[in-house]
Amino acid sequence: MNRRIFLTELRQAVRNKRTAAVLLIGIAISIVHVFHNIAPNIGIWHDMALNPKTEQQYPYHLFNEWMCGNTYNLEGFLYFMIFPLLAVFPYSSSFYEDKEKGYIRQIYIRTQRTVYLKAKFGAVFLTGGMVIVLPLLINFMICAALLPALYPQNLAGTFIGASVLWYRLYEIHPVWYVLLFLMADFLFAGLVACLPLFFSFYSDKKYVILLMPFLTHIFIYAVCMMSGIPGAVKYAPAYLIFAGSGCPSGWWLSGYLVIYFLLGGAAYWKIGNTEDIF
Amino acid sequence: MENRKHRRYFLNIPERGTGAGGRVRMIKRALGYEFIASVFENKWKYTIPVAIALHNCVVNLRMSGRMWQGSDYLWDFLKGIPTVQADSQESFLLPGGWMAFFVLLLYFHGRTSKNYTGGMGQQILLRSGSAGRFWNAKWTGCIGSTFIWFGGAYLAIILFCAAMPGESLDKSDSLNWIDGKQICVQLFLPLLAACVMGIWQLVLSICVGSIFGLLGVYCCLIISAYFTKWYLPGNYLMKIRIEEMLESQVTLNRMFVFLTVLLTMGILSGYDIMRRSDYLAMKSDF
Amino acid sequence: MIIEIKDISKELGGQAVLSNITLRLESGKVYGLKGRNGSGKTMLMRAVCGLIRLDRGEIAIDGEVLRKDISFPRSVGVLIESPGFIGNYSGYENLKTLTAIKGATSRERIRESLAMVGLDAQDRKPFRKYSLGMKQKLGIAAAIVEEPDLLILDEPTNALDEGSVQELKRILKQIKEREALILLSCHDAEDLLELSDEVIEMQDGKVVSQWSVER
Repeated sequence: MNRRIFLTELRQAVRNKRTAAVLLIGIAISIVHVFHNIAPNIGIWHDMALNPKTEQQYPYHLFNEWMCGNTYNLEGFLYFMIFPLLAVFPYSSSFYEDKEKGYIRQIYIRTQRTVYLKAKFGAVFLTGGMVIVLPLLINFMICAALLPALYPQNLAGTFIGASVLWYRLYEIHPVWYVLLFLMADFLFAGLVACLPLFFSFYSDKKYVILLMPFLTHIFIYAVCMMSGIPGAVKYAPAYLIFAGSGCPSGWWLSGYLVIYFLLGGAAYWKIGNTEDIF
Repeated sequence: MENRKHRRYFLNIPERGTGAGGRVRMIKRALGYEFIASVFENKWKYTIPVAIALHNCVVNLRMSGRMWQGSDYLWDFLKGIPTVQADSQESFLLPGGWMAFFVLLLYFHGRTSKNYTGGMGQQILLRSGSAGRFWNAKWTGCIGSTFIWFGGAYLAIILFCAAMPGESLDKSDSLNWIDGKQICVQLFLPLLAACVMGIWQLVLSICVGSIFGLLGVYCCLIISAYFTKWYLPGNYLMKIRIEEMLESQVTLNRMFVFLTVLLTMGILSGYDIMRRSDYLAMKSDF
Repeated sequence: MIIEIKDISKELGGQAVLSNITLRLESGKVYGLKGRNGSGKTMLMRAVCGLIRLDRGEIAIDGEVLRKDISFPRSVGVLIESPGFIGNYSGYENLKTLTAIKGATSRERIRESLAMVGLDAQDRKPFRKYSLGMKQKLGIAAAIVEEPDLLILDEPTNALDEGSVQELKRILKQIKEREALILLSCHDAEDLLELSDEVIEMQDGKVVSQWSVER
């Protein structure tokens, strides 16, 4: 019974025009990054790598130049500024829609509420994470086909220093570093996608429910930038899960994840289990 | 919009006379109601630009130690960032206040952009006489709320300067205000550009939905911040960029003409799309 | 099945929507709820389904208290207000998805239920393209497909044509014959009297009278 409901929800989430649209947007951004940043310079970079002008000149490589490899490319910044919009759009409003249309009544009289709530959470979480991580993975793979995968070197255009999380991993096993960040991005995006489940108890406007995570994201970014504290922006979600910026604190990352889970998971569960269905 | 005062305004005035006179009055009321709904729904939202402007002033006051004059405070608000250099390896970051100011403005535009697909908005659409007239009420409402948004911020800055004892608003500083070019750069161009973005967001919302409309305009904003090009409207929201473009031989006239043409195209496109759409069958984001 | 409603009350926004209601409902009978709009008929149905939390009192179904011992009635079919389904699925696919939750209904039964309400099981039209009447019929089919012991129908004749109404009456008679308990509401007084064994009149959230229909 549990598995059937979960599979139905997952099928609805994945085979969905909105999911396809968001994936297209994400993949378009990742491909534009390749054409804008990599393709025009690839000849020059290969030449520099083979015939360096000085001994200090380190070649441009995959881990610095993919979309999340540095913080000075437009596409990476754009992607992480719009990711709350992309993560919520596919399936996050489905709980609100099920209640509005009365479909939830059909489910609740046939099974435990917890079964449905869990299935909904799982489907929304997985879809939200997938639509964010898949384009990043595609970009990484395309860049891997075009650029050499060299060990990153400090002082060679990288922001990853000893003050960030997993910096040793970045130097020794950069692929693991990238994969860890992709996993963090998946978790983060999945939990952001679940926030509208909680907000749907407090608003009857789909626009407001879906945009709350995005507004929170912008608000935190603005506060960090306006605080005047140097380096505060690194603690904003847009940069915290950006591989090229490095995560300054595992506690902050965990804190965000815990808060988002408490709202989009635990609170949603608690309220969903007891709320009146009209 | 459930404001009781406005509902009374709309519903309770008797229709005097029959035929065309009464009908025209009803149409005017419907459009007036829609305009008021777009501009004054959630009146508290206008405290946001005031707060951002005041924060900016306070930070500058601390840094400048009361050496600044009124025009300095005004210049610094929505200054933006200089052109991103192609080979620079500095992080691309947008100012927080600037982001918050424009993103929230776009968000509030999107809240009422598709209210005509159901509820009270649909009732007003049916009573407005034609979809074209309804669209007129919508875009004028969008421009009205943009004016108030900017006006609130600038008023806050002026009041702040007036409240600061000393030299903030003295006569010598007022000479800067007479310069027409400064007025255009400081006031009109950013306001016009914001109106352009708002109108095109409305148009996109009608076509593909409020959320995609916001996403599209937001992407345009960020892309404009990255590239300094006269044809990217987001550049006109940053005063530094306007100055840079003026220095690179892009004339004020060209900027005005471009933005005016874009605004007109947006209004006419929206008019056409509203007239042709099967608007009652449209899916809503609400 | 015995449903005992013991002194239940519910308030919403400071207003009592259900007020000190005590009833005893037995299987094999059809109970018709009668009352004006806003009298509490639908709210009572929601309470019996376990969809809302009561401020006072309890509802026991065969001795088991709702929202304490059980979350909802063990065997119930419900049609309350507008029926909601998955927009991209056809009627048959929607019923297949719903019945798969309990897994106790054959595909033959699904087709039979659709045929009983006048829908075609082979029709692949998605639910979002259904007319209002077809949506209502699918809602009725979803309520009866699993042969529930308790059937709750809130204004089932809405949007139905005369032929479909007669068909519905026949279906309800069949369901009553297998000793199910039916709770329904209807604005048409004639239809209500024709279908019900007992009528419960409600006003302002209270039960003002309960009487048997003489045949």
